[in-house]
Amino acid sequence: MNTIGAVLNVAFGLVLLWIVVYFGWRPYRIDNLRQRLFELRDELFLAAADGELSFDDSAYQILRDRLNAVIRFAHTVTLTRSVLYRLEGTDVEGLREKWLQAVAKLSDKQRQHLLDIDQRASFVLVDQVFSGSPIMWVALACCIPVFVWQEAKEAKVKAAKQLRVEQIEAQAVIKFKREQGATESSAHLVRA
Amino acid sequence: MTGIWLFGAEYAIIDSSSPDSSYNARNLGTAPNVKLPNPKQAEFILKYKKLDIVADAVHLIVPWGSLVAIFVLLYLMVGRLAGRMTMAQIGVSFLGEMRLPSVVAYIFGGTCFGYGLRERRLRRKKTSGMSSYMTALEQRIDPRRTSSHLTADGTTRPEDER
Repeated sequence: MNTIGAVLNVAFGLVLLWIVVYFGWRPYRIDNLRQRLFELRDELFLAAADGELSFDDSAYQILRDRLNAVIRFAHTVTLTRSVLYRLEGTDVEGLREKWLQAVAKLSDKQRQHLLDIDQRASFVLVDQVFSGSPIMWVALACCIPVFVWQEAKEAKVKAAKQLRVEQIEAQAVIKFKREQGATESSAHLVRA
Repeated sequence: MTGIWLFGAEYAIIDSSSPDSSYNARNLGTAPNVKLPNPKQAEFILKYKKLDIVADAVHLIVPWGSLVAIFVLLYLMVGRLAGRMTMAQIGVSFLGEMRLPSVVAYIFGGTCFGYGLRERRLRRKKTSGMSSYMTALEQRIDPRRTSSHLTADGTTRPEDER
Protein backbone atom coordinates (compact mmCIF):
# COMPACT_ATOMS: atom_id res chain seq x y z
CA MET A 1 0.00 0.00 0.00
CA ASN A 2 2.75 2.39 0.96
CA THR A 3 5.01 1.30 -1.91
CA ILE A 4 2.51 2.32 -4.56
CA GLY A 5 2.02 5.64 -2.81
CA ALA A 6 5.76 6.28 -2.82
CA VAL A 7 6.03 5.31 -6.50
CA LEU A 8 3.18 7.64 -7.44
CA ASN A 9 4.81 10.43 -5.49
CA VAL A 10 8.12 9.89 -7.26
CA ALA A 11 6.36 9.84 -10.64
CA PHE A 12 4.47 13.02 -9.76
CA GLY A 13 7.76 14.67 -8.76
CA LEU A 14 9.42 13.56 -12.00
CA VAL A 15 6.59 15.03 -14.07
CA LEU A 16 6.91 18.34 -12.21
CA LEU A 17 10.67 18.27 -12.76
CA TRP A 18 10.09 17.62 -16.46
CA ILE A 19 7.80 20.67 -16.64
CA VAL A 20 10.38 22.87 -14.88
CA VAL A 21 13.20 21.67 -17.16
CA TYR A 22 11.39 21.98 -20.48
CA PHE A 23 9.20 25.01 -19.79
CA GLY A 24 11.42 26.92 -17.38
CA TRP A 25 15.07 26.06 -17.53
CA ARG A 26 15.54 25.46 -21.27
CA PRO A 27 13.85 28.68 -22.47
CA TYR A 28 15.83 30.54 -19.80
CA ARG A 29 19.10 29.12 -21.15
CA ILE A 30 18.24 30.28 -24.69
CA ASP A 31 17.37 33.76 -23.42
CA ASN A 32 20.59 33.82 -21.41
CA LEU A 33 22.66 32.87 -24.46
CA ARG A 34 20.97 35.59 -26.50
CA GLN A 35 21.61 38.16 -23.77
CA ARG A 36 25.33 37.29 -23.65
CA LEU A 37 25.56 37.59 -27.44
CA PHE A 38 23.61 40.86 -27.43
CA GLU A 39 26.17 42.23 -24.99
CA LEU A 40 28.97 41.33 -27.40
CA ARG A 41 27.06 42.85 -30.32
CA ASP A 42 26.52 46.05 -28.31
CA GLU A 43 30.23 46.15 -27.51
CA LEU A 44 31.01 45.85 -31.23
CA PHE A 45 28.49 48.57 -32.09
CA LEU A 46 29.89 50.92 -29.45
CA ALA A 47 33.43 50.32 -30.73
CA ALA A 48 32.28 51.47 -34.17
CA ALA A 49 30.19 54.32 -32.77
CA ASP A 50 33.20 55.57 -30.79
CA GLY A 51 35.21 55.69 -34.01
CA GLU A 52 37.47 52.78 -33.15
CA LEU A 53 36.48 51.22 -36.49
CA SER A 54 34.08 51.99 -39.31
CA PHE A 55 30.57 50.62 -39.73
CA ASP A 56 31.60 49.98 -43.35
CA ASP A 57 34.54 47.74 -42.46
CA SER A 58 33.87 44.27 -43.83
CA ALA A 59 35.25 42.73 -40.61
CA TYR A 60 32.65 44.68 -38.58
CA GLN A 61 29.85 43.62 -40.90
CA ILE A 62 30.92 39.96 -40.98
CA LEU A 63 31.18 39.76 -37.20
CA ARG A 64 27.89 41.59 -36.65
CA ASP A 65 26.12 39.33 -39.14
CA ARG A 66 27.53 36.26 -37.44
CA LEU A 67 26.41 37.47 -34.02
CA ASN A 68 22.97 38.29 -35.44
CA ALA A 69 22.73 34.83 -36.98
CA VAL A 70 23.66 33.04 -33.78
CA ILE A 71 21.28 35.24 -31.76
CA ARG A 72 18.48 34.37 -34.15
CA PHE A 73 19.22 30.64 -34.15
CA ALA A 74 20.35 30.41 -30.51
CA HIS A 75 17.71 27.75 -29.89
CA THR A 76 19.60 25.40 -32.23
CA VAL A 77 22.87 25.55 -30.27
CA THR A 78 22.90 22.07 -28.76
CA LEU A 79 25.35 19.26 -28.15
CA THR A 80 23.62 17.02 -30.71
CA ARG A 81 24.04 19.57 -33.48
CA SER A 82 27.62 20.36 -32.47
CA VAL A 83 28.56 16.68 -32.62
CA LEU A 84 26.75 16.07 -35.93
CA TYR A 85 28.26 19.15 -37.58
CA ARG A 86 31.67 18.25 -36.25
CA LEU A 87 31.43 14.74 -37.68
CA GLU A 88 30.39 16.13 -41.04
CA GLY A 89 33.08 18.81 -41.23
CA THR A 90 32.23 22.48 -41.15
CA ASP A 91 34.07 24.94 -43.32
CA VAL A 92 32.31 25.92 -46.51
CA GLU A 93 33.69 28.27 -49.14
CA GLY A 94 36.31 29.49 -46.69
CA LEU A 95 33.99 31.76 -44.71
CA ARG A 96 36.43 31.63 -41.85
CA GLU A 97 39.19 32.74 -44.23
CA LYS A 98 37.00 35.64 -45.45
CA TRP A 99 36.65 36.78 -41.84
CA LEU A 100 40.38 36.45 -41.14
CA GLN A 101 41.23 38.31 -44.36
CA ALA A 102 38.84 41.10 -43.40
CA VAL A 103 40.36 41.31 -39.94
CA ALA A 104 43.89 41.32 -41.34
CA LYS A 105 43.14 44.65 -43.07
CA LEU A 106 42.55 46.36 -39.73
CA SER A 107 45.09 48.00 -37.45
CA ASP A 108 46.57 45.97 -34.57
CA LYS A 109 44.28 47.53 -31.97
CA GLN A 110 41.15 47.07 -34.07
CA ARG A 111 42.11 43.50 -34.98
CA GLN A 112 42.79 42.63 -31.36
CA HIS A 113 39.40 43.97 -30.25
CA LEU A 114 37.44 42.17 -32.96
CA LEU A 115 39.29 38.89 -32.46
CA ASP A 116 38.63 39.22 -28.74
CA ILE A 117 34.88 39.64 -29.35
CA ASP A 118 34.95 36.72 -31.79
CA GLN A 119 36.76 34.54 -29.26
CA ARG A 120 34.34 35.44 -26.48
CA ALA A 121 31.40 34.66 -28.74
CA SER A 122 32.90 31.22 -29.40
CA PHE A 123 33.43 30.70 -25.69
CA VAL A 124 29.81 31.65 -24.98
CA LEU A 125 28.65 29.02 -27.49
CA VAL A 126 30.94 26.33 -26.09
CA ASP A 127 29.75 27.17 -22.60
CA GLN A 128 26.14 26.87 -23.76
CA VAL A 129 26.76 23.46 -25.29
CA PHE A 130 28.68 22.13 -22.27
CA SER A 131 26.47 23.54 -19.53
CA GLY A 132 23.23 22.31 -21.10
CA SER A 133 24.08 18.67 -21.53
CA PRO A 134 23.87 16.12 -18.70
CA ILE A 135 26.28 13.96 -20.74
CA MET A 136 28.83 16.74 -20.56
CA TRP A 137 28.22 17.17 -16.81
CA VAL A 138 29.11 13.52 -16.29
CA ALA A 139 32.16 13.83 -18.54
CA LEU A 140 33.21 16.97 -16.69
CA ALA A 141 32.66 15.32 -13.31
CA CYS A 142 34.94 12.48 -14.44
CA CYS A 143 37.55 14.95 -15.69
CA ILE A 144 37.57 17.12 -12.56
CA PRO A 145 39.64 14.65 -10.43
CA VAL A 146 42.19 14.47 -13.29
CA PHE A 147 42.40 18.28 -13.49
CA VAL A 148 42.68 18.52 -9.71
CA TRP A 149 45.43 15.88 -9.69
CA GLN A 150 47.37 17.70 -12.43
CA GLU A 151 46.93 21.05 -10.70
CA ALA A 152 48.03 19.51 -7.39
CA LYS A 153 51.15 18.14 -9.07
CA GLU A 154 51.99 21.55 -10.53
CA ALA A 155 51.21 23.20 -7.21
CA LYS A 156 53.63 20.83 -5.47
CA VAL A 157 56.42 21.82 -7.87
CA LYS A 158 55.62 25.51 -7.32
CA ALA A 159 55.52 25.04 -3.57
CA ALA A 160 58.85 23.20 -3.68
CA LYS A 161 60.35 26.21 -5.48
CA GLN A 162 58.76 28.66 -3.06
CA LEU A 163 59.91 26.80 0.02
CA ARG A 164 63.45 26.38 -1.33
CA VAL A 165 63.42 22.65 -0.69
CA GLU A 166 66.86 22.36 -2.26
CA GLN A 167 68.29 24.16 0.79
CA ILE A 168 66.80 21.53 3.07
CA GLU A 169 68.28 18.91 0.76
CA ALA A 170 71.66 20.63 0.92
CA GLN A 171 71.49 20.76 4.73
CA ALA A 172 70.56 17.07 4.81
CA VAL A 173 73.47 16.19 2.51
CA ILE A 174 75.91 18.17 4.67
CA LYS A 175 74.59 16.57 7.82
CA PHE A 176 74.62 13.14 6.18
CA LYS A 177 78.24 13.58 5.09
CA ARG A 178 79.23 14.88 8.53
CA GLU A 179 77.54 11.94 10.22
CA GLN A 180 79.13 9.55 7.73
CA GLY A 181 82.52 11.10 8.39
CA ALA A 182 81.98 10.79 12.14
CA THR A 183 80.96 7.14 11.79
CA GLU A 184 84.00 6.36 9.68
CA SER A 185 86.37 8.08 12.12
CA SER A 186 84.83 6.22 15.08
CA ALA A 187 85.23 2.95 13.11
CA HIS A 188 88.93 3.80 12.63
CA LEU A 189 89.21 4.45 16.36
CA VAL A 190 87.56 1.11 17.18
CA ARG A 191 89.93 -0.69 14.77
CA ALA A 192 92.88 1.14 16.22
CA MET B 1 24.97 42.21 -46.76
CA THR B 2 24.22 39.08 -48.69
CA GLY B 3 23.61 36.53 -46.00
CA ILE B 4 24.00 35.30 -42.51
CA TRP B 5 26.46 32.80 -41.18
CA LEU B 6 25.50 30.04 -38.82
CA PHE B 7 27.98 27.31 -37.92
CA GLY B 8 29.82 27.93 -41.14
CA ALA B 9 26.67 27.92 -43.26
CA GLU B 10 25.40 30.88 -45.23
CA TYR B 11 21.63 31.11 -45.11
CA ALA B 12 18.90 33.47 -46.32
CA ILE B 13 20.78 35.30 -48.99
CA ILE B 14 18.44 38.22 -49.49
CA ASP B 15 19.13 41.51 -51.18
CA SER B 16 16.12 43.77 -50.90
CA SER B 17 18.05 46.94 -51.61
CA SER B 18 18.65 46.09 -55.28
CA PRO B 19 17.56 48.96 -57.55
CA ASP B 20 16.84 46.50 -60.39
CA SER B 21 13.07 46.45 -60.62
CA SER B 22 12.56 46.50 -64.40
CA TYR B 23 10.43 44.03 -66.34
CA ASN B 24 13.57 41.97 -66.93
CA ALA B 25 13.97 41.43 -63.23
CA ARG B 26 12.88 38.14 -61.71
CA ASN B 27 10.12 39.97 -59.89
CA LEU B 28 8.48 43.34 -60.27
CA GLY B 29 9.86 44.76 -57.09
CA THR B 30 6.98 43.40 -55.11
CA ALA B 31 9.17 40.89 -53.30
CA PRO B 32 12.80 40.91 -52.25
CA ASN B 33 15.30 39.51 -54.75
CA VAL B 34 16.42 36.17 -53.44
CA LYS B 35 19.79 35.18 -54.84
CA LEU B 36 19.71 31.46 -55.45
CA PRO B 37 22.59 29.52 -53.92
CA ASN B 38 25.24 28.14 -56.26
CA PRO B 39 25.51 24.32 -56.58
CA LYS B 40 28.21 24.10 -53.93
CA GLN B 41 26.14 26.14 -51.49
CA ALA B 42 23.03 24.15 -52.37
CA GLU B 43 24.87 20.89 -51.69
CA PHE B 44 26.07 22.27 -48.38
CA ILE B 45 22.59 23.46 -47.36
CA LEU B 46 21.13 20.07 -48.30
CA LYS B 47 23.79 18.22 -46.32
CA TYR B 48 23.15 20.32 -43.24
CA LYS B 49 19.40 20.08 -43.69
CA LYS B 50 19.76 16.31 -43.34
CA LEU B 51 21.80 16.77 -40.17
CA ASP B 52 19.16 19.18 -38.90
CA ILE B 53 16.49 16.54 -39.40
CA VAL B 54 18.53 14.04 -37.36
CA ALA B 55 19.16 16.65 -34.64
CA ASP B 56 15.47 17.63 -34.60
CA ALA B 57 14.53 13.97 -34.21
CA VAL B 58 16.89 13.66 -31.22
CA HIS B 59 15.51 16.86 -29.72
CA LEU B 60 11.99 15.51 -30.03
CA ILE B 61 12.77 12.02 -28.78
CA VAL B 62 14.70 13.03 -25.65
CA PRO B 63 12.10 15.25 -23.93
CA TRP B 64 8.93 13.48 -25.06
CA GLY B 65 10.55 10.07 -24.72
CA SER B 66 11.48 10.81 -21.11
CA LEU B 67 7.90 11.87 -20.36
CA VAL B 68 6.54 8.74 -22.03
CA ALA B 69 9.07 6.64 -20.07
CA ILE B 70 7.77 8.07 -16.78
CA PHE B 71 4.20 7.18 -17.69
CA VAL B 72 5.13 3.73 -19.03
CA LEU B 73 6.93 2.87 -15.78
CA LEU B 74 3.95 4.15 -13.83
CA TYR B 75 1.57 2.11 -16.00
CA LEU B 76 3.62 -1.05 -15.52
CA MET B 77 3.74 -0.52 -11.77
CA VAL B 78 0.02 0.10 -11.50
CA GLY B 79 -0.67 -2.73 -13.98
CA ARG B 80 0.98 -5.25 -11.67
CA LEU B 81 -1.48 -4.29 -8.99
CA ALA B 82 -4.47 -4.81 -11.26
CA GLY B 83 -7.11 -6.91 -9.54
CA ARG B 84 -5.43 -6.51 -6.18
CA MET B 85 -6.07 -2.83 -5.58
CA THR B 86 -8.84 -0.52 -6.70
CA MET B 87 -8.15 2.91 -8.15
CA ALA B 88 -9.62 4.39 -4.97
CA GLN B 89 -7.08 2.49 -2.89
CA ILE B 90 -4.26 3.67 -5.17
CA GLY B 91 -5.53 7.25 -4.83
CA VAL B 92 -5.69 6.95 -1.06
CA SER B 93 -2.20 5.45 -1.03
CA PHE B 94 -0.88 8.40 -3.08
CA LEU B 95 -2.51 10.97 -0.83
CA GLY B 96 -1.49 8.98 2.26
CA GLU B 97 2.15 9.38 1.27
CA MET B 98 1.75 13.17 1.13
CA ARG B 99 3.14 14.40 4.39
CA LEU B 100 3.05 18.04 5.45
CA PRO B 101 6.71 18.70 4.52
CA SER B 102 6.06 17.31 1.01
CA VAL B 103 2.98 19.50 0.60
CA VAL B 104 4.93 22.56 1.76
CA ALA B 105 7.74 21.67 -0.67
CA TYR B 106 5.29 21.34 -3.55
CA ILE B 107 3.68 24.68 -2.71
CA PHE B 108 7.10 26.33 -2.43
CA GLY B 109 8.26 24.83 -5.75
CA GLY B 110 5.03 25.77 -7.51
CA THR B 111 5.17 29.33 -6.18
CA CYS B 112 8.79 29.75 -7.28
CA PHE B 113 7.98 28.39 -10.73
CA GLY B 114 5.03 30.74 -11.07
CA TYR B 115 7.14 33.66 -9.88
CA GLY B 116 9.79 32.78 -12.47
CA LEU B 117 7.20 32.68 -15.25
CA ARG B 118 5.76 36.04 -14.25
CA GLU B 119 9.25 37.58 -14.08
CA ARG B 120 9.96 36.24 -17.56
CA ARG B 121 6.73 37.71 -18.88
CA LEU B 122 7.61 41.06 -17.34
CA ARG B 123 11.13 40.97 -18.85
CA ARG B 124 9.73 40.20 -22.30
CA LYS B 125 7.24 43.02 -21.99
CA LYS B 126 10.08 45.36 -21.06
CA THR B 127 12.23 44.06 -23.94
CA SER B 128 9.35 44.60 -26.31
CA GLY B 129 9.09 48.23 -25.23
CA MET B 130 12.82 48.90 -25.30
CA SER B 131 13.80 47.14 -28.54
CA SER B 132 12.10 49.59 -30.93
CA TYR B 133 13.50 52.52 -28.97
CA MET B 134 17.02 51.10 -29.12
CA THR B 135 16.74 50.21 -32.80
CA ALA B 136 15.65 53.76 -33.65
CA LEU B 137 18.58 55.24 -31.71
CA GLU B 138 21.12 52.88 -33.25
CA GLN B 139 19.80 53.57 -36.75
CA ARG B 140 20.52 57.26 -36.25
CA ILE B 141 24.19 56.35 -35.82
CA ASP B 142 24.30 53.52 -38.36
CA PRO B 143 21.48 53.80 -40.94
CA ARG B 144 22.45 50.40 -42.39
CA ARG B 145 22.19 48.69 -39.02
CA THR B 146 21.37 44.99 -39.38
CA SER B 147 19.03 43.08 -37.11
CA SER B 148 18.91 39.63 -35.54
CA HIS B 149 15.30 39.29 -36.74
CA LEU B 150 13.97 38.09 -33.42
CA THR B 151 10.44 38.99 -32.40
CA ALA B 152 9.93 42.30 -30.60
CA ASP B 153 10.04 40.62 -27.18
CA GLY B 154 13.32 38.87 -28.02
CA THR B 155 11.95 35.37 -28.59
CA THR B 156 12.41 32.99 -31.51
CA ARG B 157 10.29 33.71 -34.57
CA PRO B 158 7.59 31.08 -35.04
CA GLU B 159 8.93 30.17 -38.51
CA ASP B 160 12.41 29.55 -37.05
CA GLU B 161 11.17 27.24 -34.36
CA ARG B 162 11.69 23.54 -34.86
